[in-house]
Amino acid sequence: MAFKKVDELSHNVDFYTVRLGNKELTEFEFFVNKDFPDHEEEIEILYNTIDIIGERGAKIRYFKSEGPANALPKVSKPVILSNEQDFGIRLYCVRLTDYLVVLLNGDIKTTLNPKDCPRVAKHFVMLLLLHPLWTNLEVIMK
Amino acid sequence: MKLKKFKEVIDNTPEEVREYVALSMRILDRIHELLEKKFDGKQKLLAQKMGKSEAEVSKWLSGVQNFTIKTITKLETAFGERILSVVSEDQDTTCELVKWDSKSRKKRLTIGQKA
Repeated sequence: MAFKKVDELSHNVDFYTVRLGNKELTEFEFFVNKDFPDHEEEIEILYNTIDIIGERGAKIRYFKSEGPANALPKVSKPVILSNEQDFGIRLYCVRLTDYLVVLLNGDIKTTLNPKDCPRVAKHFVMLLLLHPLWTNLEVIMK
Repeated sequence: MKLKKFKEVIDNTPEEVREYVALSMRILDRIHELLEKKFDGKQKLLAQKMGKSEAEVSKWLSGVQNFTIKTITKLETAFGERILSVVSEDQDTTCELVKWDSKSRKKRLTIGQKA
């Protein structure tokens, strides 16, 4: 696994992502290259949230917690409920400080428990597997 | 990095959606500022003051929210301070005097004590 800085987004906040094994793209690139028909407004909110976080800082209140994982976007229910068949898009990420975020992968969450969702489970579980690494990183940074 | 689609979305986002996200985040920052100031940063104390469960209050305190005027008013009442202010053409609550100097073509603002 290799960390890669997302230079295009990193201004006041440094955004990183990871490349797993010999994969051609990073996890965040895999996410961005997905299509989410019927979720256009959510994607607009998600990407603009990331962009504005880059200016305002990665305050913890801008993120949704799912266990030890952080996820974006945390959008209001009316937007998510406009797609009645799912729970909205999740982009899993790790917010380490106000100035450092690791963006991973995600998808449309179709079940209440992310571990049960055929679309986000692998991304959520990967983040959980990497959790000790983030914890150690946090310790080093403190 | 292959982020062409990300940039396209940002470039093509309607202005009102971008403003909605930015305003939501500013409101959230103000709420947390008041939470810290009035309740020592403790959601539980705010929930008690509002007569709500902590879980109910918690959902207002993170993420991009579609706050209703009713919710904002409830929070303002609990904090005893304003979260939002309304701009009026008749009265500017932060500036006491605005003078137009026709010679220099500059506007002169005198900031009142409220500001």
